[in-house]
Amino acid sequence: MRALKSLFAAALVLAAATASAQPVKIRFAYVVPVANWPSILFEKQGLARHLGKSYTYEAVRFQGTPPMITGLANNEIEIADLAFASFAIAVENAGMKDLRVIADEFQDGTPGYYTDEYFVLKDSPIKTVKDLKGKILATNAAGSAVDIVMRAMLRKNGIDDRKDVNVVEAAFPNMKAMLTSKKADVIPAVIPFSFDPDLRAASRVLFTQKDVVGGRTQMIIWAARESFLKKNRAAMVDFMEDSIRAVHWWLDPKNHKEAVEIAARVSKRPAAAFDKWLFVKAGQEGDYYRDPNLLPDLKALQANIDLQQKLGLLKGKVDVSKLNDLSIVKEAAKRVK
Amino acid sequence: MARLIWRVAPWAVVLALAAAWEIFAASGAVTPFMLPRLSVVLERIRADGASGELWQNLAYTLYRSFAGFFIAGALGIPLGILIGRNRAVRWLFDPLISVGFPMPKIAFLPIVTLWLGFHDVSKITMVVLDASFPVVTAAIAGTMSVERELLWSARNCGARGAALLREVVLPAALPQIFTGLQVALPIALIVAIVAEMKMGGVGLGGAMITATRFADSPGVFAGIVEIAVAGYVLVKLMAVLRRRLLLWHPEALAPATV
Amino acid sequence: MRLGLVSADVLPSLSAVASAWWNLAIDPDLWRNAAASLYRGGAGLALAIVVGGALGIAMAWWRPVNALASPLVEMLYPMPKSALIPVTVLWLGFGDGSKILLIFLGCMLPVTLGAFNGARSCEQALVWSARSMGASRLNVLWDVVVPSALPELLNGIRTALALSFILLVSSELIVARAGLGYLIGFLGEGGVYDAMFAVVLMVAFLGFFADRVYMLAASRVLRWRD
Repeated sequence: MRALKSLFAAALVLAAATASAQPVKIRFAYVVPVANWPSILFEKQGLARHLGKSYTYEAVRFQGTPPMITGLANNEIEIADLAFASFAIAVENAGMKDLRVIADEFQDGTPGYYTDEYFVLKDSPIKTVKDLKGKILATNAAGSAVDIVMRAMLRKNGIDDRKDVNVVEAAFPNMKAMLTSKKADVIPAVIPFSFDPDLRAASRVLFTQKDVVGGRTQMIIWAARESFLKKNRAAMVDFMEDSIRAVHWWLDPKNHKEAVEIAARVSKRPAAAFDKWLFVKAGQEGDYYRDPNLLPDLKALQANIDLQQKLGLLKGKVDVSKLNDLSIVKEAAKRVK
Repeated sequence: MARLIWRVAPWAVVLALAAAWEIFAASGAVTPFMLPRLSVVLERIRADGASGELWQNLAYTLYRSFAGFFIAGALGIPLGILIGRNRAVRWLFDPLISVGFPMPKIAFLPIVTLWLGFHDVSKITMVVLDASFPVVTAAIAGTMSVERELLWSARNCGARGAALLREVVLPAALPQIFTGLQVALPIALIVAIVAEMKMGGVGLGGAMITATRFADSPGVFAGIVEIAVAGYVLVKLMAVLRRRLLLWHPEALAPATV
Repeated sequence: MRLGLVSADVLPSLSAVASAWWNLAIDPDLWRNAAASLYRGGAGLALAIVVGGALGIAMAWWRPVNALASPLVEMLYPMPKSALIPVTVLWLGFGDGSKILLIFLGCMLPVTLGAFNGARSCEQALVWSARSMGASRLNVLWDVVVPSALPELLNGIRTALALSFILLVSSELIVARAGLGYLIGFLGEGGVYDAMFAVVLMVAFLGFFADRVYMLAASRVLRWRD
């Protein structure tokens, strides 16, 4: 009888295996190497138990988020690393009502962790935000998360971001040169560029993102389409389980040295570029807050998107409570424990 | 009658494509984000035209492209002829051209901006950097392919130096040089637009990148249509100009069909 | 740059670039990326030469071809290829196909234009005399028109060859998992400018090498024609 039972069980497993013989393809889009989870998540071998079995994984680098929205719409990628602003734009302007927030990438301004800084030159006459009238402000891209925060700060201080200042665009790695060569009076700086010792020596912080938002910003989230999640739920839970296990490994201070080595190898930069801050909790000297169980802060996300709308950078209201599916990441977290 | 058909045929192709676009987009096979209907896009272009935004963007983009294109021509043609005629100059410049031409020059945009600022100068510089290469190589190829017999007989007739250049080399090389300019003009337009896309601000490229960032599909496709039309007109104008300027050359006659 | 005209972070010194290149070169990753790029560039360029050359000569030779093809060629060419991504992705996705298509489109016009102008400049008298000697239409095309179009066609291909390197970088910058353009974007995003310029220069030198080989081959072909 027992033999029969196990035979039956084996047959069931076999049937299930053949039914899902083809592992689900997960293509995950990101922009910044190392700072974005998808670029390094499974670079530490042996953490992804289901990889190659129930799903296959590919990290795809994109030049900015707009092509990611096209990729999601066209089913060319399954998960995208989207800033809160891009997520709202994808839902509202691209009409992707079936886009779902499924996990956290990182949050800005969580107590004890890093918040983005806006720098002016040390000897600059600009003492407060009000002094910015008529000045040149650098931004990475109009409508981006960092840009929204800057514009919100201006409005708070009675400065019209369209008329009273001159906004120019530059990539984050060039921001320091923009400031020191006086092509811009204020620059935003994000990790790792804000840790540049030359920048620190030449400048001071005018304000931080936390000053503007008044708390956390759910900067970047993982997003996927509902149709994909429904169809491949089992594989997605497996993937999330592997991801959370990997995140635990990366965030564990015990593994710091190895984590830095892998980050250096992947990004082709020296280990010293990461050693001080990567996955380290050290206020303005350390990393952003990355949730160990990949759980996003939906309340913060809603507030951030509302701010975007208030600034006129988003037409309608985007209700995050209807646009999330955290059941997968929660179920996966239970499995890891 | 036959003439009329050949005049109408190209437009028939364009119209057929436009109809296919409209029908495919309206069929529901793709979402309006992925491919908005042509009528929606045209309406958007009309609205931009009425508000004056389109003309302002177009004017900026064309100004940058043309400024860069003329500088590229003014530098590239003499340099190319010099390289083609003079062995020492060729020895010096030829490797530079072979390295510089295939170089992805857009990687230098941040440096150019830091040097020359955010305004037209750096965008025009980028255009010159890219558009001068096809002009130079075409001028070299044109100058060097002038037939030796032609040069000898001209020398026999007493032509020297500047006169030889003006009366023999330049006219013989002109068709190829013009081909080089015909290649360079669209490149000038492309680089101006790409630089605008990278740096934001006013211009067709700037408007398109803003539309892209806000997932504003009609805006993106309006940009594509506007650039296609502007580019088409420029390419056509160059072809007409070629026919006018090279009236004396065999190619200006009816095509050599039998 | 040594003079401090530009901060060393934005334009690293040549020695820093050279040593960064060496560090990249000892990693097989660089060569894997180069192979991926060369495959795409080669495929796009080969298509552009075959299709573009044939199209250019056909456009000069047969009026209907000219009428049907010229508006498409003229509209597609002056388009920044990156602007076409929303369209190509609809047909071909983000994979090799869309990159090869973009390289093909960008490289095609110089070839087509060279072939077209070259074929048109073929002297009518030559064509007539060949015809009067009893050569068939196709024979005339092959023996008279194609050889006389050759110098312009070959220069068109030289331009296309150079453009193919620029285009493969710009097409891989936007979305990619591999390729030299991917590497440039990846390194640039991380602010590793010495390594990024090392890859930019590597593309330029690959282009230089290809151009030299091509010029040698082209001069052989032209000599053979004479």
